[in-house]
Amino acid sequence: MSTPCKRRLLRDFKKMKTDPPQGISASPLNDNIMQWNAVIFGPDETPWEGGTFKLTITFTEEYPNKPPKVVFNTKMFHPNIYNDGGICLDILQNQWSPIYDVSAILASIQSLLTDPNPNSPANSEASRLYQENRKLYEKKVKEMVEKSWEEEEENADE
Amino acid sequence: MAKAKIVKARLVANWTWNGVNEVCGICHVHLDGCPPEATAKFQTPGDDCPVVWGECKHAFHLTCITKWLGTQSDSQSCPMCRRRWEYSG
Repeated sequence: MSTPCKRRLLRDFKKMKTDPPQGISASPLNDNIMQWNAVIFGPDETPWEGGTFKLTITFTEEYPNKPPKVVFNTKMFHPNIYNDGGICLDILQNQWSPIYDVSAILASIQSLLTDPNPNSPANSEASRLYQENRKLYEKKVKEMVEKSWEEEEENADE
Repeated sequence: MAKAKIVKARLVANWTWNGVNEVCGICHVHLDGCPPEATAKFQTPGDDCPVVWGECKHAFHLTCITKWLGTQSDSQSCPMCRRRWEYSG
């Protein structure tokens, strides 16, 4: 059945196909437009370079009046990303606005990667290292990026 | 005596909401079009799908902004600029 939410998601999908933000791809599951898979590529010339980070986005019928639930499936090391992949980002919580679409959400998450907010830590170790020992923080991020490739290979073997 | 006799005429008019040429920020459908509400009541562009302005000068389909404001418990804010939403008179 076509609902306002689903029609809006179709528009979001059309926009992702015709005008995708750089380093981001996303599409709904074949049989369920309320559930999307997305990949954010680590921005060049940052410790995140070369990483492929997978996410799932789950919408409710209240979208765009309520934000979707976005989680990382790739294991992350970042001050604002929980161990279970949950993301601490204001626009996905109390600063949500119905003008955001899939493209804007993912672009915000992509910029959060390289521009964390240490004031709302979700991973205390990443947050502490980011503030106190940037060199070690970047080393840990790079290790995580390499692990994301291993995950990729494991999935390919399955 | 006229040399031609008009048998039939078809009049066509173009219209647009005053001063807006953009999409509704909420449903992303053009403001001259219909918001994606599933009811038959909102299927004809024009007076059936009114556009409203806030004091902040941002415009939305009436049904879209009403739905958004309805989901907000305390602060009634404009989706574009987050200023307190007041309908412009």
